Amino acid sequence: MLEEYDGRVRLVFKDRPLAMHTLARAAHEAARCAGAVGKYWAYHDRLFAAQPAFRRSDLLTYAAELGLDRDAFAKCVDERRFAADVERDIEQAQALGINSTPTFLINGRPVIGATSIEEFRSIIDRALQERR
Amino acid sequence: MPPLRALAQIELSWTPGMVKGPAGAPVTIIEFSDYQ
Repeated sequence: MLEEYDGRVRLVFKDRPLAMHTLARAAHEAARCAGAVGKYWAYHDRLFAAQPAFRRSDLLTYAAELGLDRDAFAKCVDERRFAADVERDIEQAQALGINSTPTFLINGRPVIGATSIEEFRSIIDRALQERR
Repeated sequence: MPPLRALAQIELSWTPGMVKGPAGAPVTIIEFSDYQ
């Protein structure tokens, strides 16, 4: 979709692990560990492909598959280096009343739940027209 | 669709590495998601 709208759309990913998903928070923290070494999006894609296999050993395996230093990555995960960053995203989501995922804000307009590509296009096209 | 609280009242921040696309893009999609 970003390619389709070439330069006219920006995507911001925010962590919103739900409390009922007991392995999710660790996965979100691990993704930020990957991001610290420039592999955020590759790891992000790997997590979505692998869900819900998010045990510690899984998280380290995915990092190794992407060529990341396993020991350094494990240290980052075990130290929970990015726990506060994930928590900040959760707090922002809660402040907005976002309690289900995925939730999108398209130029501030909420789109909640799985949404068709056609509907996304329609909302984006409308947002682009409003910006003209 | 339940109403979300006003964005204007919430200060949103994001991590540069978790953004795709140009900063000057006219449309910004903020995705709150859960890997699990």
